[in-house]
Amino acid sequence: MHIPDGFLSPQTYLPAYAAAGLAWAWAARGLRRTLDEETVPRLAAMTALAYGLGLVMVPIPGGTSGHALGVAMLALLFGVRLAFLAYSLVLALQSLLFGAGGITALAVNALAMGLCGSLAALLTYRLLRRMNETAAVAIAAWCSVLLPGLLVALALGAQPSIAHREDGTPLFFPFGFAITLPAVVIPHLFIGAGEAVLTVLVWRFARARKWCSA
Amino acid sequence: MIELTDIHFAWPDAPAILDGVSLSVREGEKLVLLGANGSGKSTLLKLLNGLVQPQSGAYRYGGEEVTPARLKSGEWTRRFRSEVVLLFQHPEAMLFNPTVRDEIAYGPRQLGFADAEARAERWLAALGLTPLADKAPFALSGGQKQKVALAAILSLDPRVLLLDEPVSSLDPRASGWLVDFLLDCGKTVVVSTHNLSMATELGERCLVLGEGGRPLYDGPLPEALHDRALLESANLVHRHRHRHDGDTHAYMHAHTHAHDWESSR
Amino acid sequence: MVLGVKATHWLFAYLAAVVAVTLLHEPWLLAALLAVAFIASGLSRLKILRRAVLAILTFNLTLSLGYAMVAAWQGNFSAHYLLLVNLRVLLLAYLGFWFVSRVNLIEACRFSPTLSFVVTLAAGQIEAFSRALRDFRLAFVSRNAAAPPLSARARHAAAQAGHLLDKSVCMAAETALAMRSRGCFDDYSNLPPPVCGRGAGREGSPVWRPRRPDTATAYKKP
Repeated sequence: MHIPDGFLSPQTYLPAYAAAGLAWAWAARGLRRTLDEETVPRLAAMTALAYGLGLVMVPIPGGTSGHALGVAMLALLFGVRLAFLAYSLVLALQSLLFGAGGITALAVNALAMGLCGSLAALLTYRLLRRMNETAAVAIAAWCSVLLPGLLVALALGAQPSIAHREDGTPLFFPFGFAITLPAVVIPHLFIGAGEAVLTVLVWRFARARKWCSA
Repeated sequence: MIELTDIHFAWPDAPAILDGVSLSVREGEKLVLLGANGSGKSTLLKLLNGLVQPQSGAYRYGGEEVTPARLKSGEWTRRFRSEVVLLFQHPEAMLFNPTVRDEIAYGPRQLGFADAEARAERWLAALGLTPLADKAPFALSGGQKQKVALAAILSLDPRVLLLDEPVSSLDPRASGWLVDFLLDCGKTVVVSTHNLSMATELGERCLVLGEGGRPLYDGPLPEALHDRALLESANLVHRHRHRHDGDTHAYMHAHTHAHDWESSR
Repeated sequence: MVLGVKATHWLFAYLAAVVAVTLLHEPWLLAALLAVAFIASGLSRLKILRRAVLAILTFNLTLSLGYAMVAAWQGNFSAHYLLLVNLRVLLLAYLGFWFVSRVNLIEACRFSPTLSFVVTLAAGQIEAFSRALRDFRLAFVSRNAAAPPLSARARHAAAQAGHLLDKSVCMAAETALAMRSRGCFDDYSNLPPPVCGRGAGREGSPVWRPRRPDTATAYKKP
């Protein structure tokens, strides 16, 4: 789902950076209001956690496995703001510290996975928790994978119409919605199922745990 | 210099971690905190560093009570922070600066010492860290991180060193250096360990903490090490089989220098 | 390695170069820029090129083949596009690896003490987490002679995530204490210099202060 460098047009990623800038300011301001001296270490720990969760291999029905996203877990346990900032920092570290690329797509990736993923998880959970908490967590996790997948597919699929030559030849990502939507969304239906199982198991663990033994 | 009176501490809705600890440490004294895992040694050291506050009881440093109100007073806190320093059990928790040199200079800079850079250079050299000065602390090995964390607190030239399991990730040579340094430095030292061998190297006096942070013993270290009932109740000795030239036998013992325990067997 | 303020300049130069590259749509221009970057990047140029090619190989190969098939079928195949997109992606990857090999990001973040602390702490913990997860994975392999069932793999993934969660919550609290222990959250700027030293901290030293100094002693257990 993570978009590499060179496939998003400046017409897409520059406005996305502007939108992400506003969202980062919103998240950082809210965080400063609710936390005090733990802000810095906690944000750092959550960034490392978001990175680490991305390394965990989640079994996907059908015998394969994929990397966990973990954004639902972070959003449900620590809030949307922290999850969003932590995810954005992970993307920046991957790109600028480990050379994994994606600096142009950082804002789109952060908005899709970090912000929309966490918002989808939290809203779904709040909506459904009265019916059944476990199901609410599972569906929230599933949505937190599916919605970013959908948004990334839309961002990529829009490229041929946003940036092309006069003869219609694309300049960046070459495929339109007819290809990107099924190619990204269908696998994410299954990846979301793996993420849902993982999130429910960790949710139970987190509820039972008192976090820190002195 | 350090005075604790009937200290009780527990996290909210959790069992007691320190239960009635009273303690007095003179200037220059070396006190060893002995206790099994979870006996409250780390919490006691954090309390002595003014990082957590007891539910009841009093902590006096240099005759003055350490209270949240006093810790808000800039001048007093600055003196306290530069005189009483803590080496955390996991050095990673202490390393947050871009380079080893910055890490060591951080404390003196933050507390306003003009010679912060010179102090950093001195402690880089003293601990053999000069070749690593421009590296990021997190990229170092466990033992190197421990040394950087140690240099970071020693650069404040403190009067009281609080050390939480300081040799846990040091190699034998660095451990030897640390033991010699602590014995010669003339500073007040409170060191926690469950390693009786380390305790005997430092030992003058020890405070043994039992389960739930109950103080079991406060007195000369050699006597504590020969009190089998005390060590058993503090979970510091255990029983398992030993093999010597085909002969197998079991007895209560601690993993320490042979001579520490042989005499009382 | 480029140190100090220079690292920050390199960061901004890299970001500007990335934007510029995405504004160019002529393959020969991108190829010329790639050649310039290749020559300018010194002795490690071959290593950087190898890393860049390996990093983009799978994705670009799949995309190029996909495009070739779809475009040929639709009758609008353009070799110019294939050249353009592959050169652009390779140049961006090359610039990225060149930047990473020359500049320490943590040094580059010095312009913001808060960012510098967050990045250093996070990078340190990422290192520890990666090591722990490697052990988790090896332990799982060592305990499974045959292919493990789905349920065991799910439980194993949950155990890893739980471990990370636990560690990061503990670490956040512990690091806050360690920072406070060295006076990180106290503001001494209004005080006269200490008795045994003169003057304040070095200009530009990474001193982070909380927004609300009055909460400096209010430790909260998570």
